[in-house]
Amino acid sequence: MAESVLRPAAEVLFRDELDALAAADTHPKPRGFRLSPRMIRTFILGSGEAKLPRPGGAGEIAVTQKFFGDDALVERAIVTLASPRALLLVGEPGTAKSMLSELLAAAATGTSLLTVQGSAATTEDQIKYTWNYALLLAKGPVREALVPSPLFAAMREGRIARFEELTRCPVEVQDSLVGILSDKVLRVPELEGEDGILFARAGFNLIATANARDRGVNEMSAALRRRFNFESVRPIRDPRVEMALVEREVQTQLAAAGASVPVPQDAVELVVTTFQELRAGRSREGVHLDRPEAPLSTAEAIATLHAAALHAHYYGTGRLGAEEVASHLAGAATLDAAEDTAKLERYVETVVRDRAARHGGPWGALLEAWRKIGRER
Amino acid sequence: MTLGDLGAPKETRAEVAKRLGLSTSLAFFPVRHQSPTCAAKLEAFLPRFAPDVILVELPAPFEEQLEALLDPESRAPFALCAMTEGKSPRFVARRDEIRAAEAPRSRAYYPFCDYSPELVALRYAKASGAEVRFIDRLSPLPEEETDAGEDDLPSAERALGERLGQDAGAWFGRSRFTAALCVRAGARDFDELWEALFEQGGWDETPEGWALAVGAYALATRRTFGQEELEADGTLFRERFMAAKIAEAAAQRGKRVLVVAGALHVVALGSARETLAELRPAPREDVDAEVRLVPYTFPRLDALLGYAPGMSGPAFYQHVWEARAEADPFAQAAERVLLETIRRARAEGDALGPADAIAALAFARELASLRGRPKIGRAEVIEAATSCFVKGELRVSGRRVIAALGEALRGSRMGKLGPKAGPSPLTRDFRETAEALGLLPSAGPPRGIELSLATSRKARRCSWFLHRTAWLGLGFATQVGAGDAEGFGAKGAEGDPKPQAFTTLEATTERWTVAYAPEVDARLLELAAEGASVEEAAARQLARAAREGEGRAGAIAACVGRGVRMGLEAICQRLAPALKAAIHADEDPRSLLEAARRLRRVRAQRARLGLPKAAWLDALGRAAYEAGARGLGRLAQTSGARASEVPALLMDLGGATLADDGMGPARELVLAKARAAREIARATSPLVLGALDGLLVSLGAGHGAELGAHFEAARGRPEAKGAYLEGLLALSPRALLDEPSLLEALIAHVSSGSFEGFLASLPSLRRALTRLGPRELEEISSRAAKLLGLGAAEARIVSPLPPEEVARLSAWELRWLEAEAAWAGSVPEPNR
Ligand SMILES: Nc1ncnc2c1ncn2[C@@H]1O[C@H](COP(=O)(O)OP(=O)(O)OP(=O)(O)O)[C@@H](O)[C@H]1O
Ligand SMILES: [Mg+2]
Repeated sequence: MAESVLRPAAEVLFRDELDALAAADTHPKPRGFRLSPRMIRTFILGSGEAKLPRPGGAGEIAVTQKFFGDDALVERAIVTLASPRALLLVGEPGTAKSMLSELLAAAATGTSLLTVQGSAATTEDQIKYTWNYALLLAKGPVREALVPSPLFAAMREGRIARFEELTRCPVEVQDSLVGILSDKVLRVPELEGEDGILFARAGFNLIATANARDRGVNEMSAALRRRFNFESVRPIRDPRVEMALVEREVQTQLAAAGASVPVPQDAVELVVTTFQELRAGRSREGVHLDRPEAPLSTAEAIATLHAAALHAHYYGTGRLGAEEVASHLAGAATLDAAEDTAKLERYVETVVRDRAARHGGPWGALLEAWRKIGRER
Repeated sequence: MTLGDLGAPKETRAEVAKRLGLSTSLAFFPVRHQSPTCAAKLEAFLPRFAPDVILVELPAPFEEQLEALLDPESRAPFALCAMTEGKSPRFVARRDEIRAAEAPRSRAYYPFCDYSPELVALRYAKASGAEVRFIDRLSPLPEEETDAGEDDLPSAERALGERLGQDAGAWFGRSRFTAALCVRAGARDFDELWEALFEQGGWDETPEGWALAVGAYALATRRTFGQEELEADGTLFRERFMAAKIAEAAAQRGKRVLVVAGALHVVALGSARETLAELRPAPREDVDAEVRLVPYTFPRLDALLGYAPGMSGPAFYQHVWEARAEADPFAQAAERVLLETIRRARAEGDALGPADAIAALAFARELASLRGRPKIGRAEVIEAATSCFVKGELRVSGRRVIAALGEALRGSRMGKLGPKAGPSPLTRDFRETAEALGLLPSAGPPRGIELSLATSRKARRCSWFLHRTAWLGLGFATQVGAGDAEGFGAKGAEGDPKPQAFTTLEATTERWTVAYAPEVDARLLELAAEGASVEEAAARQLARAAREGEGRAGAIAACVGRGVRMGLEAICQRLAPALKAAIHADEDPRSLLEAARRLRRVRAQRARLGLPKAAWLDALGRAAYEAGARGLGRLAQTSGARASEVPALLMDLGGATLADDGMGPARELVLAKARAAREIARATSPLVLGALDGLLVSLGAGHGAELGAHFEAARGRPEAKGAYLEGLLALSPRALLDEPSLLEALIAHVSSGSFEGFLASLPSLRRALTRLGPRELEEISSRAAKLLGLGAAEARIVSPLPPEEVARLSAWELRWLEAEAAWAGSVPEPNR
């Protein structure tokens, strides 16, 4: 593993798992794919109790579950990737769209790095190809002077390209994908003969992501939309699943940061429950809640708890308690709108207060900590 | 995952084989009620086994309906409906001539479609001459919920099988064994598991292989339940009865007997085959249920099956069944459903074509294969359609496709009964009830009927019945003078400033004409599948109308009002949660206040009829009023034509607040919100501002000086002042008298400033002043005269004004008369 890198690519991070899966794969593979759909599924959803032999013959390896909460979505995404249509993952921020696209690309065709990052400044060149101007001047339009885009490279090598935040690009720029996706051909009019036309090799496909809060997918042209199968990625709904994931991620991140703070179950439960209920606009007792503007995603829950734990580690008692949770909760919900503070306040003063009165415990502690912070503010 | 992977140990399989005894002369074939694969396996098994006697798990009293069930002119779906007298009558019944109209009943339906294994067995028996017996007890089934989601637009989430935390409720669904299998099979719940293992996954099995696999699953499931549990839910009781029935049949020497019953029963019954001979004969069932065959529909079947409502797919299964002789009936059914989805979505404007159908079919096949399922199942069809057809976020862009998909899966097939079934229960109920109420006229001219609801209970029942028939569109009864669409009587229409003005007598007397025509019977026939009685059919349609309100509080409240008039309070109460949710979710204060106003009228109507207070109604009304009050700020943003509706809504809000009768909102809340809303209205609409001021004044919280200032400040457009005054006086007619500052401001406006300005404001001023009664007008003019320095009496004789002013005023008067002539007809009527 490349330990010095802050965040290695999925295919590097999980090389052992991918190798083991490839070695054990007996199912038919779509043309150009490294793994069969079933093995891609196992890579993303985990092998459960089962273990795979390591290819080198040295023991066994369990494949960890990486994406949680919607197995069927992963299956559908894999099926789309093996079909002539491209895949568009759309959803709220922090629902692991990018993560999923990275994992899919890494597992299916071995790399997650052929990525275009979309923004308002993205141009058609960045999607297709640019030129090395020194060479262009010296030799004219020749093959070596062409600088391929990630998409170009993916077509040439039969791999999956990724397009992050597709809908942030200007619509005309997005539309340069239409031809590529329908004919699987990219033309380079400046080059002559065979060089002027690039046929995508088997294995090529595209995974795009789009943020549901950005300028919507509705503004995409109909022609482009037809080239995609859409999958809506939503926050994890099962609280137990979300809690397990949040706990695991926070612990991993803390370990990586060298902070040895225990993450108590209670703290995880407080954060995840609060996020889930505010997100749903309804407490589990059925109380109607105003939904905050801020996206209270799983990623946000992880970040909140991680920050709270670090705070405890560096400034506090080293114990992650209700007080840290309370102060970081306030921070998470108020990122976006001043109104969110009021909504969170109302949540605490109704739902949390009720629970504190009825069950005490961590909810009581949270209420107390919240009020204490309020007095200090 | 396939049947082979079920993982039942060899001993279990051997044990199951012994219990089912499929090659002995007493065989047990496990079934699930609506299952095309099961039906196909049974259909193949029957001629091979060639039974002399077929015992079916249906209530013994239903045997009398066998002829009707097998009428060759009948077309499935149909259902046996068992009607029993309810234990707790909803109202005190006088056992007299109107009995039929009031008998409270509970109904349970046992639906059949072509792919019901039971029906397959019965049809085979008829063709082969085998004897048929029904072996179950008639045990009380849960009554079919009239408001189950039969026409629900299946939400996107549910379409994709997200039913987290919801248990299937049924036996299999409850077992830990099932939960564990679901995990292994990658199924989201029992329905998907069943489908994966035994429908799509079981198609290629032999009938015996299929029965053994289902039996093994059932046995493993059954072992996870304790005896007490099975005793408590009545299972063992029923099985003892069945066993006795089986014993009777098995006692006939030399006959081959086949038992067709639920999988969980057959594995238990089959184990007791040795002891059957010792059983005493089954007691005769004394049931006071009336059993009738009724037509049924796929939408109702769909709701009953309850897999993600709207997605249980009777039409999909019907396609499978019809293609059962072909190579891959599931792929054929999938193709038909996907094409039908595209056809329907296209009709709604989605740009989809045959290429999408091909892509989706391939998608479904690949998805099934990735899941290790040998055939395409319902889940894969649904997911293929959502992935390949929805071009955008599922929740936002998926509505049309999901609706189309739901309809394609569900179908709209309606059953039909052959002559052996006799007239439909609905027709019979209509006639019996009308006769009992003395409402059935001979086919002559329409007959007038007057009902005084407050005094006669029978009149009330007649009214309910007539409202129900009117709602069902039978063309039988017409209410006379029901000007209000809600049928509260001609008075009290929308926008009437004094809705309470009509007398109690008027409000509680209904006039109707009734006339019988053959069209009534035609319509009853059309409605046959809607229920076994007029009440049931009306209730079902009401529940549907409420769902079509799509969460809008006003629309659902209207349904509640209608339900109360139809005497369907039970349904209304069941609508309460939906209405409550709608009130929470509805962000339109107009719709909320409208809903509140409707509920208050329902309350008033009930009170006039002397019905007891209904706490649920008050709670809903209060919730709607308070939610509406919270939305006053948004209401204050209304301008233009829509603003004209605001005063009436606020008037009702004010009335409800003052009434303080449990339904009205908290005064403090209304005051706070109205004050805040005024700040917004200042910039948007003088009419709304006036109405808000009026609301505050009427609640005793207005300030005199403010009113004059607001009137003054109403500029911008010529009609602004009049509009302000109109809004104010609508809610607080005495404001001009009680608040001197206001009258002063009005006089100032009239007596100074340009004539053009005055003239332009005149129509709206006049409209505002029509809010006042003659006494108030007179008092105001005398005060106005005083303020202008004119003595009321001598004003016309002696003018203290300088001559120039008099000349100016007479010129005004002249032009005023001209202008008024020009306006004739264009001045809006005060009471629209
Ligand atoms: N369902 C999930 N399963 C696993 N991890 C998740 C899940 N949801 C959120 N996460 C966590 O959230 C992190 C954020 O995910 P990611 O950045 O991929 O989200 P995104 O949807 O691309 O957000 P954005 O729209 O802001 O780009 C992931 O790395 C992961 O730790
Ligand atoms: Mg992202």
